Amino acid sequence: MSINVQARQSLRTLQSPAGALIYLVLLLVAVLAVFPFYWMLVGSFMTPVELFSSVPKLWPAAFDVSTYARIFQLVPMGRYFLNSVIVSVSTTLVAVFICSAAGYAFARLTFFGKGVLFLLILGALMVPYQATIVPLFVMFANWNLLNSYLGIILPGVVSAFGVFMMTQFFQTLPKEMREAAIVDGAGEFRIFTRIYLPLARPAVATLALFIFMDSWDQLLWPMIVAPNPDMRTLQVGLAFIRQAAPIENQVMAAIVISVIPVILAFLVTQKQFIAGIAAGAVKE
Amino acid sequence: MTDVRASAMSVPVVRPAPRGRRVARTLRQSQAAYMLLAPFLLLFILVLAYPLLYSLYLSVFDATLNKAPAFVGDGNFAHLAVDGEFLTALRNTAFFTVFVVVGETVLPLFMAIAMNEYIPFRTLLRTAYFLPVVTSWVVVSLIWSMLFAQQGLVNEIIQTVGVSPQPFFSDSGQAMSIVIAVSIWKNLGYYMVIYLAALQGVPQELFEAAAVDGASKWRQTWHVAIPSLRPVIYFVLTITIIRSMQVFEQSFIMTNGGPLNATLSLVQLLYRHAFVNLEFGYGSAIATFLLVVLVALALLNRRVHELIVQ
Repeated sequence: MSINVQARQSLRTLQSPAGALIYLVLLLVAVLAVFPFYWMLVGSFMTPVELFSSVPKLWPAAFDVSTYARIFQLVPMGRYFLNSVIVSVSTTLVAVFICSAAGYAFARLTFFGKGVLFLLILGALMVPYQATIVPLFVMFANWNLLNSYLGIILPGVVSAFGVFMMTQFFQTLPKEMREAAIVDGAGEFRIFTRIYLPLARPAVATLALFIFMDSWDQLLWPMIVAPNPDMRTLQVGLAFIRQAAPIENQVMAAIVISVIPVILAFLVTQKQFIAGIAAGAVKE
Repeated sequence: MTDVRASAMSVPVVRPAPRGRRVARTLRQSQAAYMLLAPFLLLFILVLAYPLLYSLYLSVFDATLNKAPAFVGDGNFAHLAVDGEFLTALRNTAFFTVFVVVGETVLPLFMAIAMNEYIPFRTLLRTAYFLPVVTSWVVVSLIWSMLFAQQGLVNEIIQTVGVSPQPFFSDSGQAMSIVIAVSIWKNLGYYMVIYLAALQGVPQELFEAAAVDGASKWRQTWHVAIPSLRPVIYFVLTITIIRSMQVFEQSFIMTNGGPLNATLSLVQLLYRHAFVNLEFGYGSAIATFLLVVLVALALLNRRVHELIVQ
């Protein structure tokens, strides 16, 4: 459909009073969705006096950037950031690889115990992660994994959903490629890494995005397993930021620093991101 | 599978491969399959299967950090039934779940139907709705806790229009309402996108046929859009129930369960017992309770889903 026709149709939708009213509601919801973020951003540049003035100000009189310097003195934002990056990137890399390998085996190979194992993993989809945190903490304490990256990362790499998703994807790829490769003398591991895994790039990208976001946003487990302030991830650091940053504009600055990469990443990948969410839900 | 492949390769199949050779092939593939599965399976056992069993084991012990665990049988569970805090947390979580589930199932549905029309700046609107979705619960909760603070922006705004300042987080009813509202607000865009994708899968002819028959937009929504979305509505209902039962971050950050436990959730109570008081046995009992409820819901949901699909 050409842009012109679309524009004309858009106008027609808005010309009826009901259509205009509905559109107004959509706009209001959008403002409600964006405004808190806008307020964080401008608030972080305001002085406390401005921020708490009895008549709300929606624009700073002068952009005060000193809060940003101050927040780095009050809390180790850089360290939190680094911890989050290390944890999320390693979780994603490991999870994507082991889930793809397992998914490929379930989708394309015949082996003893396949049905039972798959059922077991499907069953794990129902298990809430809170059900295992207490024993995990006790186990990790015994193994000296508290306050370690490995301790934060390990539970996050096992994604039953990831295996399920990759199995479904590999089932859509033709099995003849494997047979041809076997004739050519390739082993199963080579067939997986050289032929099927590269073809699974779209599914891998979607899974990686989901796992990364989950890992990045996690609060409860990293907070429990790594009580040492130096090992705090960004979310844990933010959860305790009130203790270190007494003034609200400092909290706002910390929030802005922490969300900017996330929002930028989303704006760049939003098409695939939204398509991934939609596809995942519709398939189920 | 083996037979299908055999018939596909040697065109007219005279007789199936001898049983011995088939078993040998399955054996060979099993070896390869288990090599590929090994990393996942080992970790699966290490951080999921074993801890799950360990949790069930812990839940029948009085286990704390400093003393030897003592077997108490169903003692922890019996205590749950009379533990006022647990019952409060259970009631709060159920209350929270009902409102959030209704809100997250219904509001995004109507947003999606409205967004499915040709409207100006559709993509921009969708991006706006998605900002809270991609932001973490911690950040979202921090932002709203500042907005609804005693001296916060919301109170400033309502005072300028002549309403007296509200207690918000220090009033139990208002605190719970805010936690619920923020939870719904965060995921509006997420569920809207799911509905929108499903709506775009509804054959356009259905709407056109209804329009030809003189059905208004409103009637098309009720009689075409919503019925065709039934499976997706059901899907959203399911995941919102499961996720709401696990609520933690919102109330942990915004209210810390207060005032007077008015927003204390099951997971937060688990956290307090297991990781603040280090009562691993009792914490595990709460975890087991949550597990049983969620697995029961998932199984029930399977059953209902089968009924709906038929």
